Amino acid sequence: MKKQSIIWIISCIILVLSESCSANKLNRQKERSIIAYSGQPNIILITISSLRADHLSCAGYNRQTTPNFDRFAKGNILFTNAFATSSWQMPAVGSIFTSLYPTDHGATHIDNKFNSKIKTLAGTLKRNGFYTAGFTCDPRLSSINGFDKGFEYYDDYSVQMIISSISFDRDENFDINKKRTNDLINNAAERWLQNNIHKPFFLFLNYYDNHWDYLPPAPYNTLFNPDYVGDIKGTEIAREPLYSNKPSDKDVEQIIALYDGQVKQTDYDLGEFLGFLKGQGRFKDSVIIVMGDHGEQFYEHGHTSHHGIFDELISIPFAISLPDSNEPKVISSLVSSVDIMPTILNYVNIAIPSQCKGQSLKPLIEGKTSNIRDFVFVEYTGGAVEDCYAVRFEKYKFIYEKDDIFAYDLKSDPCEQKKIFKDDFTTEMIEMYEKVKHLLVKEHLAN
Amino acid sequence: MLTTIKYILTFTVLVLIRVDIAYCANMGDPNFTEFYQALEIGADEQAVKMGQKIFNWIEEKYQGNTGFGALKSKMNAADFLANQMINQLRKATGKQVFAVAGEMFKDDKIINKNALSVAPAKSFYETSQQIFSRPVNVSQFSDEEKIFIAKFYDLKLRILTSAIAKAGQALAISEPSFKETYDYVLVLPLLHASETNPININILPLWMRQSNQLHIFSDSCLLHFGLAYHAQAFAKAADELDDKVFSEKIFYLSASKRCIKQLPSVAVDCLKRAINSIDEQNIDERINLQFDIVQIWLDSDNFALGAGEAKSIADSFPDHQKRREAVWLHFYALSRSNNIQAILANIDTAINDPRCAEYRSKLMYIKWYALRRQKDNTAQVAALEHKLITDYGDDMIIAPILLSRATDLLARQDYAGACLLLDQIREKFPTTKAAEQANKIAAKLKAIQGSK
Repeated sequence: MKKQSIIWIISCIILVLSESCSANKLNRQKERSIIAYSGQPNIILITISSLRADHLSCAGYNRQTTPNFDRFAKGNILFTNAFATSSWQMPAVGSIFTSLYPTDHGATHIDNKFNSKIKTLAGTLKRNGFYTAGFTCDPRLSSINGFDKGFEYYDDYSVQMIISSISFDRDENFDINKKRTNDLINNAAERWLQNNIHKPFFLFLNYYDNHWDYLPPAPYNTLFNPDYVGDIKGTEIAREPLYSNKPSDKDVEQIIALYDGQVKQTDYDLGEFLGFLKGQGRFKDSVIIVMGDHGEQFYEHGHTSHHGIFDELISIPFAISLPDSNEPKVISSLVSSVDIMPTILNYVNIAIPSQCKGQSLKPLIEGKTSNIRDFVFVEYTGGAVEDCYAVRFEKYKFIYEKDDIFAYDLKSDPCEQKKIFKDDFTTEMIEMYEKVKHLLVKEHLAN
Repeated sequence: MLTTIKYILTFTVLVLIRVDIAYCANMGDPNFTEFYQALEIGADEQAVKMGQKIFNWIEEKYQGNTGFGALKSKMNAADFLANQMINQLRKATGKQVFAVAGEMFKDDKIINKNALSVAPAKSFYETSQQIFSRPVNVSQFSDEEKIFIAKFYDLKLRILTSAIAKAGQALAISEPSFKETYDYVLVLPLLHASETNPININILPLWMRQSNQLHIFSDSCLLHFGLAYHAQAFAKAADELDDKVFSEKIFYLSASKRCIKQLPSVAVDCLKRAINSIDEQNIDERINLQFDIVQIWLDSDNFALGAGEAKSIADSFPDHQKRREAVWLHFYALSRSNNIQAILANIDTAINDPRCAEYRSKLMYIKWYALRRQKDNTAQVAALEHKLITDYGDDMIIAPILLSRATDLLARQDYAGACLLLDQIREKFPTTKAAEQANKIAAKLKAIQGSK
């Protein structure tokens, strides 16, 4: 009995001690997590509509289009081989927001909303204590289409509202594609930042001026082709007859010159905003990402605007600034826009949801690996051209379109002009194709 | 035998040349009268033959004269241009006839699936304007020679325009949807006309010189070539043929209305001409038409031009009661053209001008809009917002401003303050876009509070 009592007393003491230790541990953990939390960097994600990677001066373009992006990239981490998951904004930005491919996140067509059941970057950050705010005037990225999911404040209205209100009811049906909006987006975001006391925060900002129509304001409208005389005005770019009827070389040059003018104007606006962020000291406490959402085409494959899976449509500029980072890098490994969400979450120590199809770029940035993926996957389902799906390796691009499988040899045919049909695949190509066949044909063939 | 034939032939040629030289030598006194008589009776072909000989004689006489050279080069250019048009029209006709045959015989190979490929008459006119606008100096010619040259030139043009008309009619018969014959007929006459040198109706084919035809020419000038003055000249000529009283002002006003949608700059040209035809004392009518011009520019998205026209009203009529409207429209148009610098440089004067008091709130709103589009104006924007809310608290234009302020408060985590402003927007301006957004934000806030 005595022995039993002693055992019981010892057990109680052990239990109490262990409880107390465990509570202390929990408290300490909590304390640590609060400390870590207060030091959490903000996330600022800037996307630029229709920004084709090879039209940036830092990518070797022959025009000085992007001095501000170049400066940002030069001082930080530049990815030179980044790809969007689609060639237009709903599926492409949807992938940035979810780390899912378009058919998975749902925003594959203008009538198809973003799937409301999936986890978004903003929602995940919000659940982990971030205040989430977004600023856009792209009608496709509106809250109506579900792109506000996870944002506590999503301003998809003020630019339209201010522009339409300045017409004092004289012109109700204005077309946002013909208006200058970046400066108003900057103003709204800067105003929000000036007032904001939430910490940490996730700020999403989308520049839309670079999207057609190509109507850059003076002096950008005549900057690159001042002597042009002709009918190209920069409007109706995505409509017939211009959409699929290549005009004269002189007119195509003007279309490109207007687009480049627009790129330069957008770069100016980006520079203004980055200057503001610098003034606020945001480079010290924020992860800042600047990227294109998708590219643009100028009749390389018969059309203008942005529909398809060719490189000019999916290759995007992408650069990251990390807080107090003083180690500029140029990374040429293949990366995809589905990698954005895992990377951001990785940098703020938040668990990456299992739904994510992308991978964190942190090991790549830190030099722990030289490659995180062998290929990127791209889908086009917008309706303007045939639905098509592509797996792009460094060397080959495999495409599924209209029940057909073919490829391009990107080394010998970088402009993707010569289709190689399945029967003509080399052994190397067959091996590569077999690895990704399931991605290309699985659901689409079934459908 | 062969040599004999050669001799005979050479002799014949020499005789013929001799006869010709003799004829030219005899042209020391060319017979102008016979040429004029042929013209008078409408015997154009005969007149051309006679005229050509006189013309050759003049050419011989003024060999090396630059004035004559310029004249001849113009005639050649007219000839070339006319042939270009005729060829294109004939080709299109041929293609059309061929296509009809294809349809009849159901032969896919020859069915014409393409649209008619004739360049618009206006493009022939525009590309040749420079050539025909060069002056021709024939001061060294005698008066009689000058009269002849003018008549002979007109005759040549008439023959060319008649040929163009025929080619156009042939196409219109083979393809009834082709209605542009008159446009092509007008190219040469218009190239030889200006506002100081009205169109010469004599160079039109005779059968086209009737009032109903002249009205068609008037429409063509206005709607195809965008030449209001010549349209007016044709309409006037048509009315004169019908003994009708013609009013320049009424013509231009009606012409302006017809052009507003497709040809705003022509519509404005018409209105300016209408204004010029109004007595200078009739200020109100003139101003009203100037406002119509502003409206045309605004409706056609030519905001910079609209701003300029509005400014010209304000500057020209500083004491007129409509000046304030002109000032407001000037800044409104500047804001639509995103000319932020011009707005901010001058709008304070307008805001503080008692004559513009009626538009003060709108002018202040435009300033707010312009300031938002510039960097580093936070303090100015805040001060202006405060002033607008204080002075025009019930005016619908402040709804977006209140919403911006509510957003500021949300960012500052002042949820109570934000809710107050959002309620204010919803109550005071329920039909605005700002209220729509206020509702959304308020619902979101309520949901967050509920979840807490």
